[in-house]
Amino acid sequence: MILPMYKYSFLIYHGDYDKFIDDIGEIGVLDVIEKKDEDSEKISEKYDHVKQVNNTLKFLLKRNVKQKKQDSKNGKEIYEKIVELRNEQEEKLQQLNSLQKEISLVRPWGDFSVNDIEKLKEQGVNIRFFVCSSKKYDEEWEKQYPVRVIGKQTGNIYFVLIEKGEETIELDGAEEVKSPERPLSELEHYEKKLEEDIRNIEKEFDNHAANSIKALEKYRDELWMDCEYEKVIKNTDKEADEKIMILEGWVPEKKSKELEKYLENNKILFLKSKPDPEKEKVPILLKNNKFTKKFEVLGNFYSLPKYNELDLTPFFAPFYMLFFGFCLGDAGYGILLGIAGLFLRGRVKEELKNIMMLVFYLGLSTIVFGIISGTFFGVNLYETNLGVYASLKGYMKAYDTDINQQLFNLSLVLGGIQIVLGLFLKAINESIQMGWKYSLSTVGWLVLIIGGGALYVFSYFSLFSLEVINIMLYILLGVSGLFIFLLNHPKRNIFVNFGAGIWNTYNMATGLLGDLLSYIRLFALGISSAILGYVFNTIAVSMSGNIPVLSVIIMVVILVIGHSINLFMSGIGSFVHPLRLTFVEFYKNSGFAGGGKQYSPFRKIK
Amino acid sequence: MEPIIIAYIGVGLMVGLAGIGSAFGTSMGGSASVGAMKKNDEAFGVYLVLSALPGTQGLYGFMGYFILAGFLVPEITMTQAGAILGAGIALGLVGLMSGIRQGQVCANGIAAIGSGHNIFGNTLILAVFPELYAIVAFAATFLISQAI
Repeated sequence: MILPMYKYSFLIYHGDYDKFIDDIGEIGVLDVIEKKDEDSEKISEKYDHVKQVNNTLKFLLKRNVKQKKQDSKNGKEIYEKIVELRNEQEEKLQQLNSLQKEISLVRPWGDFSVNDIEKLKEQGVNIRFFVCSSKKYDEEWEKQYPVRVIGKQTGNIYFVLIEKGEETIELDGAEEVKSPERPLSELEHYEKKLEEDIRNIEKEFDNHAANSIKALEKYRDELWMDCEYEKVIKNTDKEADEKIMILEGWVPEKKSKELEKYLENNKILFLKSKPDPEKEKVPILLKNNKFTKKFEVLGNFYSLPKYNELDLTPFFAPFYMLFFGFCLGDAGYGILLGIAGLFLRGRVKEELKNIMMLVFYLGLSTIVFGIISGTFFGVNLYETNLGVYASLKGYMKAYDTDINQQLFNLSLVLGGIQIVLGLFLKAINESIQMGWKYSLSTVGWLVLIIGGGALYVFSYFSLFSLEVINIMLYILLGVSGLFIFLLNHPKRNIFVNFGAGIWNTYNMATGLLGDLLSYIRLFALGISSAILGYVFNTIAVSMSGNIPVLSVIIMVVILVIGHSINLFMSGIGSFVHPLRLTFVEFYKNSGFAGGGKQYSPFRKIK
Repeated sequence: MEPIIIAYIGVGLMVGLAGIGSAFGTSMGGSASVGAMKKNDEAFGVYLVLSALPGTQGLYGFMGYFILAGFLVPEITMTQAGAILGAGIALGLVGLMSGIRQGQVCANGIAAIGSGHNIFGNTLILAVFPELYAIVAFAATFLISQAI
């Protein structure tokens, strides 16, 4: 259900405005209406800064350091210090990287004194450095010229050529390289120092992770509140030479008492009005019962309803639960999910508790469908000689059918029920939004589908004579035809209505059939998870051999891995496909448009 | 040609093509994930789920073989063999194409999530659109196995 909202407009004298905003933030129920604003970039820059502080917090929390008792410190200073340290660390890491590259180039030359080489040069002795692949290296060079091999590495030979005075010697196939600028020992010394520095920075991070989290959180919250305040100020209209401030916002009806008490006590002038959903974007706050509430998170995947629409969560929740169970359809997996949901519920953060309860419900439904389809960890219970299943199988055989045939039918029946419910909701939505006269076409389709179904049942069980049923059929076609072709729009001319009715009929005939067939996936996913479980059972039994003890271990390993894969893959499928049925088939037939904006009040962080 | 050979060709197409589809699809998701990790490494769980989605086609192909395995005996009739070939072509081709296409949807979704767009749910739902047809082909294979 969508909670009713009221629009409040406040008129405040500019001198009292700061206090007013402070108090409103304290009460924390007003969702301020945003005005178009040229300065919005400035605020978004500020929000970006909040994000950066939050990222820094996350960075520290990720280090998994136990937090110590923390004194109040200056969060801003700490934040700036950490940013500085992170930049420094980044810079040092880059230096280390290029240093290590240099080291790998210098390593073959070993350690030497750059000074000595310089001195020799001054004396006219020039040392040139060469690299050459060992295949191309000509040992004759050593005899002909003053060549000395310094090192060998990865198929290359590193050597120097010593020249005196002006002579220049050419060595074919060898590549001359620049003489190293620094000897190995010096580079390695720098490397150690850089590594030490980086370690020290890491230690400082750990230190902050243990001691500065609270201060940073406080700093982030303060920044956040600053942004929120500024946003409220920006969305305030100023009238009468900026003497009077006008602020507008939304408050849910059930939260308005405290606000109004405050307004009256402080003698603040305000206007209260009901929203006009056609012209205004009213924020949405949902209120559902304990069971349905767990499914709101699924509805949010698509969109919140508009203010003048029905909230469909209570209507799709039971279907989603059934469909999930249908798709997974294994009592064993259901038990696992149920236990996992209950177990984790007590161990997760508050906001995830609802999701864990949802997992529990889905587990229950999976158990129910596992029992119906006779699947327990991939074992087909109908193939065993368990009392109930054996007699059920015999019973179905007598009617020349089996459980799979029945599940196939069940998937279509469930789909049909959901589609009809969707059409009902569409008719209600149309009546609420535009008036009952606009819903007649949908009512016509409902009459046709439900009446057609009833007549089929009548004739199947021969409840009436064929003649009577024929008469009923004509009446049904007449009434629904009247609604669909002639009364589908109260303000158009009858010929336009007729044309629109034909177009509508074409769409419904093709659409409904496609929608209904789409529900076959429930059945197909159900058997696919059951068969895959069965496949792993078979593999486990046939591959484990018959070595005592070891066979059992192999079998258990295969079973655990196999069923984990199946639970994961089928679990994703069972989660997503019912979502699609909800959002595409159900939402479409119920004419759901969505696009509502979440109610988010201006609230002080306590 | 012996009926059993026709049946095995059907099984080969079924398992092979559907498997190739999934191999393509999951690797598209996988490569996109590796790229997206550079920008946003906190959403790995989301990437994993989206990359795994096109993995089902290969499983459908394999399970199709499994439910038909009982017919693969020397005494198989020509009708049964033809049915298995038909099922193999259907499930194989649909699995191949829908696996690749689903992989593309997932890969685009992963790339967008990596760039900071919050569209996991939307991608999930759009990505299962092409998968439906692989499911339908699998359901058809199952029904064929019941009919012959």
